[in-house]
Amino acid sequence: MKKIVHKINMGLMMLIAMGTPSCEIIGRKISESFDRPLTIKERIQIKIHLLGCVFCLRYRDQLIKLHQMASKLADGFEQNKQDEIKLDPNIKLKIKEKIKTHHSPS
Amino acid sequence: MIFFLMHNHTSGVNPENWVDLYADSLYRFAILRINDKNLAQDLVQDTFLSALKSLNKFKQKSTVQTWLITILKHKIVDHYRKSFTDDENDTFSTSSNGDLNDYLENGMWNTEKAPRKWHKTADDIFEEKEFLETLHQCLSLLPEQSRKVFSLREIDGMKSIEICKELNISTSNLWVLLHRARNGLRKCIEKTWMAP
Repeated sequence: MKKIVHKINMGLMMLIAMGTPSCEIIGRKISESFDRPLTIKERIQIKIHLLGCVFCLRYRDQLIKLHQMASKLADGFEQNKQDEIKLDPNIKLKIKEKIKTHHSPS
Repeated sequence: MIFFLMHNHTSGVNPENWVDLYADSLYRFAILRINDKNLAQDLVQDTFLSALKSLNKFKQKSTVQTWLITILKHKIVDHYRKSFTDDENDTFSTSSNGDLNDYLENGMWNTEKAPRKWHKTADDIFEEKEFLETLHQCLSLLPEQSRKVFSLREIDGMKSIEICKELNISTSNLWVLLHRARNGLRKCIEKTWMAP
């Protein structure tokens, strides 16, 4: 009995998802939601589509995670790479010389 | 002049100390955003020289480091703008995600390429130090235009309208490039970091 109910549910969800724009369009709109305010119609379309589409749901969750990671990347990179990534000492010397030349009061 | 030099020295803006104090930090800032070691070095050098020229404009409302980073940011955006039209490997196409195989003809996900379940949260992932390297590498693998707009939008948090203005592209082109970048990064992370 449980299996039948589950199958009916899955079928209904599939139908709901099919009644909305395709995954390709929904995926694009999910990405755009990070860059512009979506219209009410677009937001409803996405919500309904996500009710029946596990892949688009994962896609949205992954883009949210990616957004969080990207915003932390700059700080994390600076902190974790302090000992590893440094400007070449020869380039430093060259820049120091240039600064000295340009800055020396003459 | 003596007053000027003393003022510079005592307030910590003596340019002769800049390289020791800020060069590594500026270089890391540049290398994260520029996929080219030599170019990153050049931009750091240009930043110091530009700062030197406009030293009298520095009002000390911010720290020297913040001021130098702001100059470097402008230089990076300038570089992006100049090189943007040369990036032929990432031209705008009707395919918004850059990989037609992700979807079937009817626009539904191709189940073999569809997103898999990720078991880690963003915070969990960031606890793992090596992940930064993975993310940086994934970023460097993106097509040039996508990488640049993603960097400005998601790493530096620049507004869409400002990016369009700086790079002279339409908002719809920006959205296509960002969507492509996000999908590319998502797939790269999934493949290299989330594999069971």
